[in-house]
Amino acid sequence: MAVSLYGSGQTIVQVVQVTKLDRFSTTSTSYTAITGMSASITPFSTSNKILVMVDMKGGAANSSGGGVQLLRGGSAIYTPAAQGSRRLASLSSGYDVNTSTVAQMSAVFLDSPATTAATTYSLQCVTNGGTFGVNSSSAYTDSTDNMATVSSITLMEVAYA
Amino acid sequence: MLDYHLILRINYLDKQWSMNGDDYEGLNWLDSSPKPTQEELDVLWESTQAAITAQAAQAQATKNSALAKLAALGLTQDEVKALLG
Repeated sequence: MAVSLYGSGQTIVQVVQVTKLDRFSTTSTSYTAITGMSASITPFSTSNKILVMVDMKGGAANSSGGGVQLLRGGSAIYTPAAQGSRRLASLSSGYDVNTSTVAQMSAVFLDSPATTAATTYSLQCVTNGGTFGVNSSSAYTDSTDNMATVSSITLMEVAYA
Repeated sequence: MLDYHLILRINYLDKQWSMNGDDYEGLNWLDSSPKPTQEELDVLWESTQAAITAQAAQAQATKNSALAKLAALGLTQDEVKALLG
């Protein structure tokens, strides 16, 4: 989907959205790409900025932790300063003792890619050894007390007159 | 319906992998050990379901035991509910 709204001042000139409807899970203790959570945009100007909005649901098993990192190309963006042994993440689900919770995670970041080349934003995730599920809890069990959900990345190009 | 996410979680929790979607083709094996074949995962479905059922039964038994101990201390069910939500 792409929408162009031309005007004066700060204007949204382009919108791209990708939604992920199916499940993803991992036990990876190093960051691994979340299939389907990737969106590309080609900015009109190097001075334009990209408003990145992530709407994501997921859950990590007890003591697993669950971190998600936002990338531009192959580089992590929107990351915190180092804090001891903590893993660095753009957003996190925490972890769930009973494994049936689906956490709401979100990130909003105004990026300055300074390019007119196609630019890809994507997400990768990590756990501390248990399971981390995207669009579901970490339990995966098929029952009415477990929710199946949807996640998305939305990119908005902001022009500065 | 056979659930590869569940089979992997129960039987391969000590291995590194990611699984996208519901089909075996979505399995990305990140571990140094050999990737299990679809047939190897398929035969684990029955035991996986049994393990899930056993886990749920164990969790319920633990909850019942805790409630019984609280009741023995004189707490009513409403008081326990007020404590635990």
